[in-house]
Amino acid sequence: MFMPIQINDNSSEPLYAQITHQLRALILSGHLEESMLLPSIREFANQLQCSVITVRRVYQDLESEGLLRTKQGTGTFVAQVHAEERARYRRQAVEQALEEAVDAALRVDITKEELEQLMQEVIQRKWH
Amino acid sequence: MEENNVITLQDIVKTRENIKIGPLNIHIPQGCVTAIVGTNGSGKTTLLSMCMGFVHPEQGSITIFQEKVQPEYDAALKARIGFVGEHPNPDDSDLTADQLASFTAQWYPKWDWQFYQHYMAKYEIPPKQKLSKLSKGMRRKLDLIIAMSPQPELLLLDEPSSGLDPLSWRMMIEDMHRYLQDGQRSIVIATHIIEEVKRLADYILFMNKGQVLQMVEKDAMFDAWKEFLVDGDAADYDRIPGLAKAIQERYGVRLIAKDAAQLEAFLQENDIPTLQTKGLELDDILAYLIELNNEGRATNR
Repeated sequence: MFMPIQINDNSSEPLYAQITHQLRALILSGHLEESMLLPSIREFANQLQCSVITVRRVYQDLESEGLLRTKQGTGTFVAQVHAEERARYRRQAVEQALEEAVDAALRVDITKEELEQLMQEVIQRKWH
Repeated sequence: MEENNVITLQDIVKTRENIKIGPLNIHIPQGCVTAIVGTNGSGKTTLLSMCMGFVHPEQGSITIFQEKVQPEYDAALKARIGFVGEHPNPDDSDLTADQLASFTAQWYPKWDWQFYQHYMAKYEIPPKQKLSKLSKGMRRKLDLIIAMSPQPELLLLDEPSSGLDPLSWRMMIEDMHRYLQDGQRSIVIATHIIEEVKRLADYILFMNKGQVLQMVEKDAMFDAWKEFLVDGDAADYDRIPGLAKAIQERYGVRLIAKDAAQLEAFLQENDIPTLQTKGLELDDILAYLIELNNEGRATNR
């Protein structure tokens, strides 16, 4: 089973963190449906070209967050995600992107008014 | 999760013609692929031969599946291990593949003929031709099939892919992943092929001149070794934390980190902007490890 996860070798973010973030996003955004069976640890490691130690850690972390559950002998499944959690995640993802945009503005020293105006312009341009 | 060791080497010493190997203390975890990486003559082949009991260490002990490897031949232990040596056995040249398989199968209670035939067909190996007439790559594939047909719990492979064409190589990697699927089986593979380490390994054992440089989990290693491009002179960065080497370039300094998290934290604390971050390749890491090891020896003296 193919999982749309992309690893950036040139990032300084640790590999296991990259995979955890992307898998969490796939679950919370609803791309992976509830009770869907994920690849086995070895299969996933093969696909991502990472070690089984990393995949085991990702599965364990997301399981303790309640996003995955493991049935002994059957495998790892996507757990039920509550609607409010999904909504919170959607908000969080946008908030994070906006924060990055503000950081970019801070780096080039533009004024708060200019930034707000720019945001309005972008929204006007992109919103259908 | 608690991991058991499939192989444990304790204070192993072996003197070869030009080189003293050891003392080696190595733990190889079960359910994983451990790649042994090192330059020629670093002791990889001797290490595998000692595990098989072909070469006897002068000192120390080797434990496989919690059982001590004895100098006497131990058929019960061997039946659980599949081995592909550095070179094919020349004594087998007059046999055909099927004859070699029949001969080998006697020693292995769990030998699986269906597995053997399936893979002989898949890799298109002529079963009734004399082995001396097979190409190097064909012979290699046959040796791998024969090593895996007894359904061993452990595979010891010494450069198994030498002579394989790229497509056979890909099939071999896939078949090894299939072999590992149950999570209990282990592979120890000595290899020069970087792509093989990337595609297969969970752990990497770096060896140089008969010594262990490092045993490390693959992803932790790639996470730790990064290159940061910054402004300034190499001399300014000489002793910063996490650094392996600072290399002066015309447009800045390349900081080779052996502990990227530590080095990055230092750059952030000191407001040094990073112009670029890059991953390192396995061969670069091996070269830096050898360099650091040599420097360490020089300063310890």
